[in-house]
Amino acid sequence: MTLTKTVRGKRPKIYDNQGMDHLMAMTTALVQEVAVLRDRIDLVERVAESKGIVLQDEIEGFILDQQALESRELWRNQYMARIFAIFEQEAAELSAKETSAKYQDTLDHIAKN
Amino acid sequence: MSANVLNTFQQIDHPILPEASADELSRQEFVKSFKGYVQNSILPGLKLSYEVRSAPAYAKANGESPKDRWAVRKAMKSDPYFQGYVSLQRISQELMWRSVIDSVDRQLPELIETVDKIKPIGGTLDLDPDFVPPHYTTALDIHCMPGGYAGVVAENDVAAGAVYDRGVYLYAMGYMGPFNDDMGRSVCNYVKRNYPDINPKEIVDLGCTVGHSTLPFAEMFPEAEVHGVDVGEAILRYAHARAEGMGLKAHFSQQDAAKLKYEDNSFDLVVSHILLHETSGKAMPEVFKECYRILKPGGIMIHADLPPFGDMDPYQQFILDNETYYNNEPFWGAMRDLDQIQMSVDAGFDRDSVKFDTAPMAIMEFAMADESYSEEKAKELSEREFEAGEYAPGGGWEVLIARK
Repeated sequence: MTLTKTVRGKRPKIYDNQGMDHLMAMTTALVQEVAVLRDRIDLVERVAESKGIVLQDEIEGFILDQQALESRELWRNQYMARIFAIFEQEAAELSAKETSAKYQDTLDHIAKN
Repeated sequence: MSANVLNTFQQIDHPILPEASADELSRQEFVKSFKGYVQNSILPGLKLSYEVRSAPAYAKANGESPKDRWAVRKAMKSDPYFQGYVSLQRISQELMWRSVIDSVDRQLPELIETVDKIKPIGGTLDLDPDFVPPHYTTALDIHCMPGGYAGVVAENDVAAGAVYDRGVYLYAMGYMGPFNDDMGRSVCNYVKRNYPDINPKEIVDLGCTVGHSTLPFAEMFPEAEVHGVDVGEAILRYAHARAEGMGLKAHFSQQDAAKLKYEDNSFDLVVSHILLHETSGKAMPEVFKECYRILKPGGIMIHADLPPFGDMDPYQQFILDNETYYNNEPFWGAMRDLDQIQMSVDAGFDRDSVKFDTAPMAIMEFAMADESYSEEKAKELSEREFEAGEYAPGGGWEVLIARK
């Protein structure tokens, strides 16, 4: 990696809350990556078709067996757990009655003890 | 009519053009489509948000409608539609450069090696190891291109040129034509049609970057000696390799357009393409003076760039001026407030010889020759009504012309 990827010059803050600027940038980059994945699947189908296999028809007619259904269900659950981990964290904090004040108390306590 | 032309225009390969992997190409194609989508489908609603919501709110609070582009900006800055639009516009630019940088970064060593493998055809490259790029080219990364025009990242570097060549093609959404040369080609056509007597023997293109606008002059005036001037070592090395690889002879040289090394009275034609708005308040009049100095008597100066704001509607000015605030184009708005006619006169040109005109986009000629531009698409393109904020408003390039 030799080329610079960041831009010299202050990036404009468009929204009142800068987190929103971050979110827009990340979401749009994700929109791009979804398009990249979609293109790759399209490419796989077209390459296969050029070799005589019409994947699109095969895909539409394919019946998932029980093992495949379970494997997919497992993957989806792990996937969602990764994406929505922030809620898992929040629930854990609620359960442990964590607060910012309690966090600060811990800092103060450890500094002195 | 619908503004959505289904755009599948592709850049034509040449020996030094970076190649993209399947995923990189998808990222690049996405950005090209995304930019078109933001312009064609999101931008029109912005005017509604202004007329229906933000302008009336401003008038209510201030007792008058927004009277200039700064007042429009004030009225619109907190408008949620504007924030969404301008945010996507900025992000599209960032994604564009990143999508190109990945492929250049990956193959930079091979690109550098390719330079030596291209068969020389007689063009030259004159780099100045002591050259210091003007401050306005390095203060910010202009139009958010990481590293800027003068950036150098390796020995015998070509990276900035490779990034620019591909990036500009995507930025223009293909409307720069398969050879990325629509501006130069349009200006060539304009000269041929309007000044058939000139028959230039010496031509120089100031701020030539990768020579994409320079080469049409070599092609369309084969008798002429064609020069290109810019400030960046890597972009000029790339420009030289690109020209040789495309079989068009040109002479590239690292110089400041405001302090040229050329002798007085040495050119028939001095041109620039989107250079002026990337200079500065002090440099621009100096560039004009240099143009006058190096032109032979009877020679012509043509700058294809932005027309002055003049009496343009404040909302349209505001849209265009977004580049200043959201795309690292520090001189974009200020340049449009300058009196370019007077600046030409002050440089020495006779007032009667100075004028603004429109050079129609040459892309129509490609449209007929390239199979990715069907006749139907070409017709749609020519009949489109362009709005401020779109690429090449009016379907033509604004040119400032003066004759010595």
